[in-house]
Amino acid sequence: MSAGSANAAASSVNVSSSTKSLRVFGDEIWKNKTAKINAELFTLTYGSIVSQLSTDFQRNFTKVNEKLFAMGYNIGTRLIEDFLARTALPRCENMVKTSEVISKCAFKIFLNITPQVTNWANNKEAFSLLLDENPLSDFVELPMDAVKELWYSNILCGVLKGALEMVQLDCDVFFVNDVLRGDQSTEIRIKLNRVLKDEIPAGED
Amino acid sequence: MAIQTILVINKSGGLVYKKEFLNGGHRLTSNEYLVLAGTLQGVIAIAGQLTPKALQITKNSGIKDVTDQETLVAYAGPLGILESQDMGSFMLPDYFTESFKSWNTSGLKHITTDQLSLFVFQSLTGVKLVAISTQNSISNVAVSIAENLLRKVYCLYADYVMKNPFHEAEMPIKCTLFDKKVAEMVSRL
Amino acid sequence: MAIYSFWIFDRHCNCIFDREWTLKAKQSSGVVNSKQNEDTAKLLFGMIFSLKSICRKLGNEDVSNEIRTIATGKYRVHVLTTASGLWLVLLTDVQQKNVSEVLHHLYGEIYVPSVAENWLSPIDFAEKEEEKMGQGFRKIQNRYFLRAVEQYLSPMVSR
Repeated sequence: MSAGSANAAASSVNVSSSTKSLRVFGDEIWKNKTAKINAELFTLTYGSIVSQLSTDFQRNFTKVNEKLFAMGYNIGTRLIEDFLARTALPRCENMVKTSEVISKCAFKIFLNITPQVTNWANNKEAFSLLLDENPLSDFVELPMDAVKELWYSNILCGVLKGALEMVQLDCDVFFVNDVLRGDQSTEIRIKLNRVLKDEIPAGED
Repeated sequence: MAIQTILVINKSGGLVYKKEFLNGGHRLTSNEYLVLAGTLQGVIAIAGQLTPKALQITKNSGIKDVTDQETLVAYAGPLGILESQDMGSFMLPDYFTESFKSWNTSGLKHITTDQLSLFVFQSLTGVKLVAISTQNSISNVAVSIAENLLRKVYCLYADYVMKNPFHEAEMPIKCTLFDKKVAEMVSRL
Repeated sequence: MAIYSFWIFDRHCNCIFDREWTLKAKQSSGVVNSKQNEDTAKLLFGMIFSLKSICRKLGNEDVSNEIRTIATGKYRVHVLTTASGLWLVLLTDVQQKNVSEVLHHLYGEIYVPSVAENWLSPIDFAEKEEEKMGQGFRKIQNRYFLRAVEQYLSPMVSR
C-alpha cells in the first residue's frame, strides 16, 4: 500500500464519517497491521472451554452463560486498549457511529467478520448485530439439553460489554437469537443504558 | 531526542509504571514521582477549564475552528523499528503508518522548561503515557515524534501489559516483557 | 497569531494584572482587571505553580529549570519568570511556539518603565500582611501601563 493512499484513508476516517471509509480503514488494519492465528486452533480452544464449563457446572447452562459473559468482560476491558492503540479512532459522537465502529472495525480486526447493524430502536440507542458467520461456532452442534439454554458464543457479549464500559458507555449486551439453536439468524442486541459522563477523561471536549 | 523517563498513569491518577533511561543526572524519588503523577492528573483537568473564552465562544456559536487540524498528529516514520523485529500482535513495517487524531483535545499535552520537555498522551480509557525528554524543543517535528513514540508505547502496553493475564487492572505494571520492549524502542530512537 | 489573555502574578501569588480578549481577533473585546476572572487567575496560577515545583525537581538542580510553555490541544501558555518573583503569562493559540520576545518586551519596555520606575505607582501591590499569599485584590491601574499594554498587544490579537 502506498503512503499516499494510506494517508488518504486515514484522513477520510478522521475527517468524514462516511461509512465506506470506516470499512476500508478496518480492512486495511486487519490486512496489514494485525498478526493472525490459525482459525481452527482458535475455534477448538473456545470449544474446549465451553465444553469444560458445561461439565464443571454440571450442565447448568445458565451458569455457563454467566461464566462465559464474565470471561468475555475481562477480555473486553483489556482488549479495548489494543483496539484503541491499533486504530486511534476518535470518540463516537452517538450510538450510530459506535455501531459502525463495532461492526466494521472491531469485529473486522479481531474476527474478520462484519456483522450487519440492524433493528434500531426508535431513540437510536439500541441496535442488533447480525452475525452471518461466527468463527467461534464453526463445527458446533449443540447437544439436546443445551439447545434451549446455552448461548454458545456468549463470550462475545461479555467482550462488548467490557470494552464499551471502558470507553464510558454503559450498555446491556445479550444474545437474542443463535442459528445454533435453530433460529433464523445469530443476533446480538446492544442497548445503551447511559454514558458514564463522570468517567470521561478530562482533556476531551 | 533523548528520552529521560517514561511514565504510565492510570485513569485515577496513580503512577503504575516508571522507567528511567539516562544514567546519572538528577533523579526523583519514588515518592516524588507519585506526586508528579497526581499533579499531572490534576493539571490535565485544570488546563481544560482554562480554555480561553474566545475559543469557548467560537465553539458554542457552531463555527468550526481549525483545532481539528491541529489535533491531527502526523505519522513520523518508523522511528527505529527494525525490519526483523518481533512486533507482538502487530505487523511490520510499523505499529501504524498513518497520521492520527489525538484524543486529548483540550487537556495538557506538552510542557517545555529551560532544560526539558514533557509530553502527555491520553487514551479514551483514561490511561496516560508521559515522556520526559532532555530537549526543550517546541517544534512541530519534536511534538509529533513524541506523540508517535507514545502511541507506540501504548501499542506495547496493549500487547504486553493488557494481554498479560496476570496483570491486574489499575495496579502497578510489573511486566518484564513490557520493560524490555519499551527500553528497546527508546534505545533505537 | 491569536492572543487570548495576558496575566501578571507577583511574588505574593497575587494576580496584579489581567487582560482577556473574549472575542477572537476583536481587539476591543474583553475585560481588564476583571473581578470575574479571579477564579480563572487562581486556577492558572495553581497550574503553573504546581508544574513549576515538579520541573524544578526534574531538571538538573545546578541550573535553573523554569517553565517556558504549557500546551494543550487548544491553546498555549507562555511564562516568563523574573528573578524578582514576577510571572508574566500569555495565552496564545497553539501555533505560537516562542513568544519570549513579546514577554520580555512587556516586562522590560512596559512594566519596568511604567510601574517599577514610576515612583507614584506601588511596586508591591499587597499593602497589608493579609493581602499576601494569594489574598490580594489590588491591580495595576496606572494609565500609562494599561495604554502601553493595549497598544503593544492589540495589533497581535487580530493578526
